Amino acid sequence: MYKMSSAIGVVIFLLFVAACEYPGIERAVTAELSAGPAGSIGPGARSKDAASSAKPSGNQASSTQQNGSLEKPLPAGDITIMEKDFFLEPETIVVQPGRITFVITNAGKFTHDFRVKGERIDERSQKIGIGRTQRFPLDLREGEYEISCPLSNHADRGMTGRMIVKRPG
Amino acid sequence: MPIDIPPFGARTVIWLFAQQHLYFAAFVLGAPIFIVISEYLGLRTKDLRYERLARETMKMVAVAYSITAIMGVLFSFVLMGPYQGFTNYLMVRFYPVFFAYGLLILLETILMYTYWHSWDALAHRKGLHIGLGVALNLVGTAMMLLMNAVGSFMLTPPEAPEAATLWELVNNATWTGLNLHRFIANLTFGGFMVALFGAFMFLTAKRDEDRAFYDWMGFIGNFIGVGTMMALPIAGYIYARELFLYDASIATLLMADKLSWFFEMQGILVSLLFLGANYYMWLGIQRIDKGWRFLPYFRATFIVVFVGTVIWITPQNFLPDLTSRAEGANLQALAIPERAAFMGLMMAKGLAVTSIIIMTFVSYLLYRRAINTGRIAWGTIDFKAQYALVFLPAVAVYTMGLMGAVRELARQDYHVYRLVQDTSPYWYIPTLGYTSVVVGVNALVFLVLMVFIFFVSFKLGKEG
Repeated sequence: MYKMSSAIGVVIFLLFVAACEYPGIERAVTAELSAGPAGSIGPGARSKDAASSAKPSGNQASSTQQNGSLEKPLPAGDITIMEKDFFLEPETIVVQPGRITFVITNAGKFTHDFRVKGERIDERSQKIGIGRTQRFPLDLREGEYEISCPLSNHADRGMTGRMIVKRPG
Repeated sequence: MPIDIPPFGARTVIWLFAQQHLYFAAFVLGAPIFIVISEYLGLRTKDLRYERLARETMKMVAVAYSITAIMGVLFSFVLMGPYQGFTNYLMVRFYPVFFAYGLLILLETILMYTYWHSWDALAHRKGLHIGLGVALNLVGTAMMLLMNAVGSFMLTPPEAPEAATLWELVNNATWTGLNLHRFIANLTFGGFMVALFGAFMFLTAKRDEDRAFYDWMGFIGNFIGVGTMMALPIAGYIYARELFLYDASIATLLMADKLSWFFEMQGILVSLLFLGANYYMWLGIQRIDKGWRFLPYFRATFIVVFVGTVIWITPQNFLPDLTSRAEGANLQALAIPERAAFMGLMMAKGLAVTSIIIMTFVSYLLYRRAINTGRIAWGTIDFKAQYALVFLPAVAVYTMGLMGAVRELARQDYHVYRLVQDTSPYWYIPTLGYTSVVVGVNALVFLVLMVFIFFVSFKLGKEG
């Protein structure tokens, strides 16, 4: 009985010792109560802010090379898409109508999916495992389409984009 | 930071007192709801056990009420020292709310002691006495709504709070969801505490009639606890939806980033609650005449709870957060094999949780059927069932502490999300290991205090 009480006492003592957090980690902020990051806050504005802030800067140049422009849409064929946690790269694609094969790579740490939605079309790829690449062919006419990851609430978190299918000129 | 509190640190000490205040507040707000219902049932059915249940639970509430107030005062005092600027920030914006809260505490105290001490005096005017109990609950709920406004504001403040009216601060994006979730959770908590009390009294009872009564009391407490617990995932979903609509990046933090492993723990804990609840029913059905006929059906329940738990706690990968780099390791090696990847998806987890809830409900239906066809021999239940009634409240207390911590940590390095930064040395999200220890200490302190309440209220200086 005495041994058991002692053991319980030691466990409780160790729990309290493990709960000690003092002195913490000093933070490199001088103001006592500084304001949060600049920019819009509040419902609605938040999700867009959060989604864009999660994306690393510097991928813009590489993206624009492969997603075409309104004046010079990419020819139909293979379109490479990277799915990351939680955004698409590129998020805007301009391409010519025809047989388009999305080459989708899951570069994130969670399973993703790919969806193309527009007038008279709503197609989903198979689920794409971590590090996997999947080819997803579709015949697309001229028009504007929404691309996204339809899994869970990934689209709400920022995994959405736009695809414009149009002829050159 | 003007004042720190070694060796625990200011944040941990505030955490301790805030959590103790919340535990006791959940009990003194949740228990009176079914105390009044129990008193009413006693009046309607003339079953004296309901009256005794109401009265004994109210005796505990009366003692717990003082501890709730003391913990609240301690929480406020320890907060004001280290976090003076932030306390001032909240006081400026919510002064009318705090003032009204103080007045309601006074009113609640008057009602609570009047209700408790007039039990005999109003024995022949039960309607009036029950009316006092209803008023007590209404005031208690109003108090909860006021403090929920401050707590939810800290995580989801409205756009431009400087220009917002007081009502806009109060009625922020997650106030309704938090109110709903806490109201149901308080009932669950109150039910489990009554079950704990019943188990304590059963295990220490010396007379058969007492054992029979406390067996029944434990059953009722557990029934309320488990019954309301089945509604909690729905309330939790509504609350989470409000939170995610407000800011989708919080969803990422909770489900995919730094706090995702906290939800793994939640999965294990809630599964343990359902497993314990079904185990109790499995033991309980054996004290009913011919109850053994229903035992084979419980196998399916236990299998579903087990399989459901496995699916619920299967992560998509074993990385601690989104920014972790698996240096030198293949990411595939840290991910769930592709064939089993579906178990990591929310759809599968939702189905698993729903299956667990449905099968627990089926267990209850079996129990009801057994009661309808046989007589319950109250007081003859296996002693192991009483340990299940100790286990369930202990896990419920721990789960409440852990999920409360998750809600607070969702603010990340802000006191008020994206508005007031935490510039203290405790600005960071603590690890799951550290959080688990603090929650464990909190749960331990609370359970020891509850046993102290049971002991001084019902055992000290009494025979048998």
